[in-house]
Amino acid sequence: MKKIILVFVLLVLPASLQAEEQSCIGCHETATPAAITQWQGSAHFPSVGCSDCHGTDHERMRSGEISVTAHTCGNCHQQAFSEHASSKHSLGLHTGWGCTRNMPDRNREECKFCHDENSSLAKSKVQCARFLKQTGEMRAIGCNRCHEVENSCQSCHSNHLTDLEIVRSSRICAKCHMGPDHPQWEMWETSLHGSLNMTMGDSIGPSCQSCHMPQGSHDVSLGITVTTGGNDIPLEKATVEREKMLDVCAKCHARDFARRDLEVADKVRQQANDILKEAETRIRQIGDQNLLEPSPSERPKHPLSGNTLVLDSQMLYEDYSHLERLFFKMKKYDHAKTWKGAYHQNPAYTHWYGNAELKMDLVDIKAEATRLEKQALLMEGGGSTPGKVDDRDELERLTDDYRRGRMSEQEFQEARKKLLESFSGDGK
Amino acid sequence: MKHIFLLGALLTITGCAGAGLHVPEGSQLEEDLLRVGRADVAWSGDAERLVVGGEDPFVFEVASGRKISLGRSPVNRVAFSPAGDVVAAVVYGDDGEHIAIFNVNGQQKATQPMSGRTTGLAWKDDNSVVWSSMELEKFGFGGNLKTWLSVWSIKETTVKSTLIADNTLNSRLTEGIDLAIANGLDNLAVGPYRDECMISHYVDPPLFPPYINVTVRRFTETSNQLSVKADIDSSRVFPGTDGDSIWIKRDQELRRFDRWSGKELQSMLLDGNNFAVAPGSGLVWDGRNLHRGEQVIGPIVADRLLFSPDGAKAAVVKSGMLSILNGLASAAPFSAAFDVEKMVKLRSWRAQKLISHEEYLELKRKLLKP
Repeated sequence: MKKIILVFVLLVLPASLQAEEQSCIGCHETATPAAITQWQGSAHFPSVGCSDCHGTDHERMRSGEISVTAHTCGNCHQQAFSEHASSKHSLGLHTGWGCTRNMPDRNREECKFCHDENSSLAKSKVQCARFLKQTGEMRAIGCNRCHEVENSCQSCHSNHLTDLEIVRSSRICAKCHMGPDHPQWEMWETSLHGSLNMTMGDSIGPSCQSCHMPQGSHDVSLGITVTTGGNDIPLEKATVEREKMLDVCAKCHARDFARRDLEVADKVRQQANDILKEAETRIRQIGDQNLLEPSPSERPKHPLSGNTLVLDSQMLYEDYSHLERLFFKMKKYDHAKTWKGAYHQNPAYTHWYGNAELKMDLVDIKAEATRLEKQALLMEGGGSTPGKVDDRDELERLTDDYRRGRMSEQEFQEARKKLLESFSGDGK
Repeated sequence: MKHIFLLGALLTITGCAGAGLHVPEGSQLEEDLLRVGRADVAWSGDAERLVVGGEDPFVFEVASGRKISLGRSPVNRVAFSPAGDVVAAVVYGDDGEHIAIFNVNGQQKATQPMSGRTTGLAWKDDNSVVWSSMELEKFGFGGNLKTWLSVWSIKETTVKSTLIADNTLNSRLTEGIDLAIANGLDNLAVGPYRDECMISHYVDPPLFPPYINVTVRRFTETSNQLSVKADIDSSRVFPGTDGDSIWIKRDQELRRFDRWSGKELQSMLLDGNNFAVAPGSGLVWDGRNLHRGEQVIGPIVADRLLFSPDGAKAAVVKSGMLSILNGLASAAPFSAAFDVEKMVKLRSWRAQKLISHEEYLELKRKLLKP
């Protein structure tokens, strides 16, 4: 009896499955011909059929309740999935999503990115304020098309093709890693690395994957020693990751040369962080004086922080003051270009698109801050002479005069020396 | 009988006094003066008085033993003003916490409403009250924690609050912080010149273990100067004696960092989370022993220890009883060695990068009083 059942399982079941595949193809050859053609030309054909990835519940497929996620692929591609899950790519949804429960244009399909079915517990712990400010349409295309990478292999691999040529080209990375906030693709393309790659191929010039996904690793964070905001990761981890990146560099360069180059980039990043911090400090000074227009209490509530001044990674680009608008550009665009340009060995991005813009942003922010302070004093009845009572001490005034070009360097240094001597009693 | 001899020998060797308090040789203990439980305690600048919070807050005159009540409302935090003429206290009321100012006769002089839960209280150089507070909001996925620093200018009757950090935290950390705040989490310290403070806040980065970030924040320039990481289980921070360094707990050790460059200067093993640094003399209590530099002076086993501003005395709390330890290495606060006004100006120049660090050190050396 047992033998009969076994024979049934071996002979009849595959046949029924085959019939199932045929039923998909029967319709989808007409409904989605490209999908069928691509699957038939892929490495998945014929052993991995439609139902292996999509399941068999057609109604739930159509309603969007079931979709092919990275976990589906991970059932077979376990190593790739595990590397991906431990990399920054797995943070996509965490940084690009937020709970839309209370939003009028809520799309219930979005829930599954953060929640398991029938669970109110969120899998992700970070919400994105900028995402929550957008319309459903903008969230779908402008946010999710990139940030879905956490749970969607097809973000890079496409839906039904398995041709590795696609994912071994830097072009696939450009889909997301381009544009004003993180133009890594443009930086690479116009660097010596990129130029060599495009003219001589992967064996001479590195692609994105050569450095960030060596040996086909799906851990794109390999060798990265900084957070997405340009801050240090913990030293113990950074030391290990730096050595991993140097292993990659050492395939073409002397290890010490590569180490020095990355350390120069570390310094550039620290300098950029200092400039950014100076601007943030100035804005907080204005915020503390309640001079931002509109003030945080006069604006629509920040989706995560309410009526507070937010200048961190949850900063918005709308419903805020002009001063913050200047800072957003500085932080999100120019700061990122400066240090990312340095790590990607692109001089123009590091300097002109990055550092120069960063410093000009600081000039704009300081000027706007001073204007707001002067305006406030005038409104308080400061009289016909604009500007507050000069409560700066001698050295502050002297340095300011020099920076404004009111005295030569020699005059400044002489006056400064005299002042410091007098301060410490040497000049008496 | 053998046991009695053994106990006697142990007491003699360790210098153990009374109810199990071990104290360094040469110091004198006024034992079990007050029952303070877990209430907050603070010294006056001249180390003549203590203010004690709790259910029945009071000022305690050390010499006479007199207690002056500060009203009947429970008090969470206490701090003497620099001149010692008034006390700031965080008072629990029907509508939450508020800050109250009492004179040393126990009369309430001013109050200021506040939001959140206070996690630190101190005074600034211009007699303004400084406090840190946290607002913890819980969600299914964890929590959102806002850390605030507020400055109340009593003279100008204004309060300025600055958001120091706004962090998303995992569920476990959220619960831990909630409990820590209830148990008197302390995340604020003011430097010896009272021109800046050190405030710590929690950070929970994705993929990495959570940690505490300690920020040095200038009052005059309202700028953040330094950011160093500390262990997640201790938010306490102490200014270094000279105003140019800070003490925090990292990797289970008590470490001193240069306040300007962030470079590590010194470290010592730590037993638990109880530690204290004397602002005047530079004595360090690591939870079990008293240190001066690399030298161990002697054991002090207690639950809490609070040095007086000159480091000559310490309030020691064990099993809820407060004792006072006298005769510790006496030294005037480091700030007393300088013209404070000039030092504050010099530090402001350094913070604004109007002078280099080398110029700062050279000028500081010249300002040292003979």
